[in-house]
Amino acid sequence: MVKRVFKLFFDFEKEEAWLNDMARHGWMMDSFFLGVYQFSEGPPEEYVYRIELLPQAAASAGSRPYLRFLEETGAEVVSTWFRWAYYRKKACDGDFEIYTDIGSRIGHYKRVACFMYPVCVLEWCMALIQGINFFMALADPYGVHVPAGFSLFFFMFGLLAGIGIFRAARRSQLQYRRLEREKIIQE
Amino acid sequence: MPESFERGALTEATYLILLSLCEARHGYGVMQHVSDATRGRVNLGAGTLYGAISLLLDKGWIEAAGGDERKKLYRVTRPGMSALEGETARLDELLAIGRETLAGTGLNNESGGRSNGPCPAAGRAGY
Repeated sequence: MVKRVFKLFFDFEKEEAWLNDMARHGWMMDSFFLGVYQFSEGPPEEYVYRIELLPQAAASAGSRPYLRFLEETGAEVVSTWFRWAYYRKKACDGDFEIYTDIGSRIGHYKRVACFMYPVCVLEWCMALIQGINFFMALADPYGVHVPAGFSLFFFMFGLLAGIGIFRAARRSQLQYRRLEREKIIQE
Repeated sequence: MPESFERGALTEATYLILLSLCEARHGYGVMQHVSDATRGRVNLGAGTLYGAISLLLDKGWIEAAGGDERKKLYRVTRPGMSALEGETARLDELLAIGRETLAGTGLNNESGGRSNGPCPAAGRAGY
């Protein structure tokens, strides 16, 4: 059986936890596209899922050797989405972590924060433009504009998405700051 | 300037990776060897290992040792070997100091229990 779920995540760790929770209940994620996750039924806890933000686009020449390396270690690249990559590994093969020391975990959290903050600013800029459109449409109801309802919707969407992304970016930033302090006394 | 500023202590992962590359291995081979050598205590993540390998290649501490495009083999170089030797000597010194100090507290010797020691935290494993 196949199940499709539409869900928006801003925080990759929450997304990862959700995918693993689905796997615990026998739903294995097979693909992701535009917020739609496709699951197929399987034995519960068959796979462990991990999500990573790559330094470059997943399809680029720079990422290919790394993804191939991952597959060589028994992991499967389930889906990629720009720079995001979804992996899974059979749970019976033991631990599955991408980053296992403080240094590399700091690197990944930093990458996530550096990626998310600009996306957040972009969302808010788009929201601002839609907000201006909305007021222009109200002030001049007979002019040629994007419909006010349309602008309002995208204004709200951009604003809320921006907040979600900001909070996710902030969380990654706090995580790497915490780990950087930790690194003073241990690896 | 203390030595550690010129050539820092290696991380546990780096030390174990260099050690396992005393024999030519591919990435997955390093992962397995490190896991076996530490009896499953250290399981290197693919991201951590890949990052370390590319850094060690840049530093010239390891080099490609054949293999095909899909499974590249790596091996430690002469500078890598001297880094390993330096680190082993450093750890030796550290261990000697640690053993001596702990023996002095009566915590870590065969006859002494943990009860009468002044610093119980020293015997605790991990964090």
